[in-house]
Amino acid sequence: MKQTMKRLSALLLVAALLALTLGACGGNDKPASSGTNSGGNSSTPVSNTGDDNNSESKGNDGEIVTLKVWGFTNAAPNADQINAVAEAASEITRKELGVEIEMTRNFDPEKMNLAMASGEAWDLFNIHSFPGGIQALVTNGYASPLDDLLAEYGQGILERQPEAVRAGSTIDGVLYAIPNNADSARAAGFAMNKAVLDELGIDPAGIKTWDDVHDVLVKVKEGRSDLYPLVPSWSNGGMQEVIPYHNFGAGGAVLEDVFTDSTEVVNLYATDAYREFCERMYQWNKEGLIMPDSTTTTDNMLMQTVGFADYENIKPGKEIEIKKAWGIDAVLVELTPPYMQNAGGGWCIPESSQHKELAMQLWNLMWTNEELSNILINGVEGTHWEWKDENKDIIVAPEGIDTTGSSGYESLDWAWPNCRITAVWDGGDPEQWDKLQEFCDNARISPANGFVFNTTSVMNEVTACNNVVTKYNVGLRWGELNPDETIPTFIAELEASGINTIIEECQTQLDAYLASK
Amino acid sequence: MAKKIKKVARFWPLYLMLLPGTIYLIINNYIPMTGIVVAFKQYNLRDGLYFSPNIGLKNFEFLFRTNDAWLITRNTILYNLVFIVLGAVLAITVAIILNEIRIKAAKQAYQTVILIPHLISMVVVSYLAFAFLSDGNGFLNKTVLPMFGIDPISWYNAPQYWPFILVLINIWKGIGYSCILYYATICGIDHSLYEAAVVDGANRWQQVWNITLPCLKSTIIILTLMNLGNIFRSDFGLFYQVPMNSGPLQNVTSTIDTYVYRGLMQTNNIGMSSAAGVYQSVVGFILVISANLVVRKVDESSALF
Repeated sequence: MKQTMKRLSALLLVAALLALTLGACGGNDKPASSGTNSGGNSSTPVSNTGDDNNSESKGNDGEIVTLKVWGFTNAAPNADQINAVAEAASEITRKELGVEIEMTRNFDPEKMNLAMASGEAWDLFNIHSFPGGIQALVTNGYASPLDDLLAEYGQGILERQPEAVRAGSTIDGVLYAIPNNADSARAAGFAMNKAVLDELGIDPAGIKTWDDVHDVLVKVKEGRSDLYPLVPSWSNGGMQEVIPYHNFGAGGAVLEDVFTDSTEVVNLYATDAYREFCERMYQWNKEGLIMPDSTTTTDNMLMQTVGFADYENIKPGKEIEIKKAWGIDAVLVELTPPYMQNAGGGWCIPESSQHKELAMQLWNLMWTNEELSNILINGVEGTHWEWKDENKDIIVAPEGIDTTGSSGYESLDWAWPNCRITAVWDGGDPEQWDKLQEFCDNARISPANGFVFNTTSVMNEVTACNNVVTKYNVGLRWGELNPDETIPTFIAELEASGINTIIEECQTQLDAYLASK
Repeated sequence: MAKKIKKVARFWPLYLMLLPGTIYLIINNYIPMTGIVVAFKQYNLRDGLYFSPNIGLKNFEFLFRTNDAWLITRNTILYNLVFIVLGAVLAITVAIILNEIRIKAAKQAYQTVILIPHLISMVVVSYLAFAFLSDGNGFLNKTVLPMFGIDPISWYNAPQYWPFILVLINIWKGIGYSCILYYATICGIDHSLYEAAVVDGANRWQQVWNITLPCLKSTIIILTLMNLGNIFRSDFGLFYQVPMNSGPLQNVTSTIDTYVYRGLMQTNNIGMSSAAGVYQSVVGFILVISANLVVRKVDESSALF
């Protein structure tokens, strides 16, 4: 035993010595890195006057600045294709701003989280599906304040975007993200495979209500036994929301119906709308209209393979979006009319960016430069798309090229700053972007639009409630759990976990926000 | 002192060999430990890890101020106890049986087959399990149960089966690796002991009971002590991926790790998730130290340190 102790102490001595040496190394490193940091942050503002700013955007050693852009994709990212697109985009940005773009696209929330938490120097970051949303970006200090940058370099954005759209990205009067010029509003309902409807002789125009949808699903079950009538929108029972509540993102605190003027915060899972929805799905499940394993499946594109219908967001141009992604013609059945609750999403400039002014200029360019926007969204001309005609407003996929992103470059227009200045895909409505504008302008705006719930003081309750929700919500929504038995337990557990404390706090904050407006 | 220096001088190549591993350990395991402070802070990137505002123990509250605190602690500890005890018993049994096999090729074949599951990622295992348990197309529901005339079971909605499924999967996956450790010890046992036993007329069973097991004692103690240190942790893949994050199973699959993940993935609070990690480590540390104390009291030479 004594022997071991001696050996141990020797080991510790070596360890301590090493720690000292390494500590010294670390000490040497630090000033260097913080030096570059401060250098980056205090870089002189670059004027936005075309070509003559090249000299200023270059680093001390004459290198061209490379801006790192993090885009979103639904498909597995294909690095070669993304690099090719970044290179094509760089040609434009080099000419316009004297910067180059390095790009990645990803959909994995854990990777996003890691990229932000590690302080990696991204310059523009797509916050779609970032865990915790704008609230987490701000409390963790990930996102830079944008007001000054936007005022100075973002004229193109200010001209094109109504302020109300940015309200939901503004926290305590400070703007942290800018939603994309895409679908700030959404309608919801079902997408159905048109070929199957045609085959069974069902007239799409006649599908208007929940009962109509039910009848169609029953007919599909009888007529096409090889298909599941209703499948999840994505893996693990993913479901585009059809209940029009305003979600405050905290364990179930919502405004029950954005189409009323009520600003009373309630528990979503105790509402009639939720119960009715679950009862309907339970009934459908019993009738065999829903894919078995829908809550555990790990497949994302079930409509492409085994499904006839799923829940979808609906907007002008959705048909062509589905066609691009899944290669099928879809019929959309709108059950929830268009509404807007905190447009959200969009992009931010991470706090760790060392070229914030340039990033804002690039962002503005993405909003205003048709060619650049087109490249970022649709890819490289000739490789990923080509013009259909001389007018250059409609594009098609070149022979043998796949647009779904599995082998090519996924064209996902809403995930980029401004899709409304880009070309329309063949088969889409040439007026698509104008119709989208009209759609957003006429959408119902939630009475709580612009309010962001600060959950800091009720974090314990939110964590507990989130766990209760994952226990019951998906099973109830897909009709695997009997609502008569489960919903009362669900509500009781939520209340025991403090949902009412959350609601109370949310109501106080919401009332204060509305009063200050 | 002079004697010590002389010793170091004499064995310097050994110390040199120790160096890379030690450096790695310090860089990888000790320097990051300073990050433990984040568990006591309201973290934000702007102020950084060490300068974010202090909020004391507030980050730890969520682990205890929930109705599920008892449930997740119970699940974590009970599963781990079963894994430790059953895992050790089965691994030792398999190691002894392996040792009895005389044909070399057969021994190697068995060893490889037993070890393979250890090398498979938990995510892949979850798909293997899904192939068995899927509602619509699973092997059990489509093939096995109909053979016995039993109605299909909706496995991912039936919590009563999952304690067994999880234990089964964990043992199947882990046994190969721990069995190697025991097997190596058994191979190292002096053969003259067995020869002497045979001379004395001991049968196989008596040899195992009186020679093999006593010689395995210190290995068993060390491995168990090390496992005890992780008793507050759970294999995230096993408890989250394998049940496919199915809600109805949560009462039997929720552990501290999955609770933290489910609760904080949506709110993205770094301080709180670190607090959970600190809590698990501190409890594990205390357990190892106290278990070692007990072992030292009973049998000093078997203690870990």
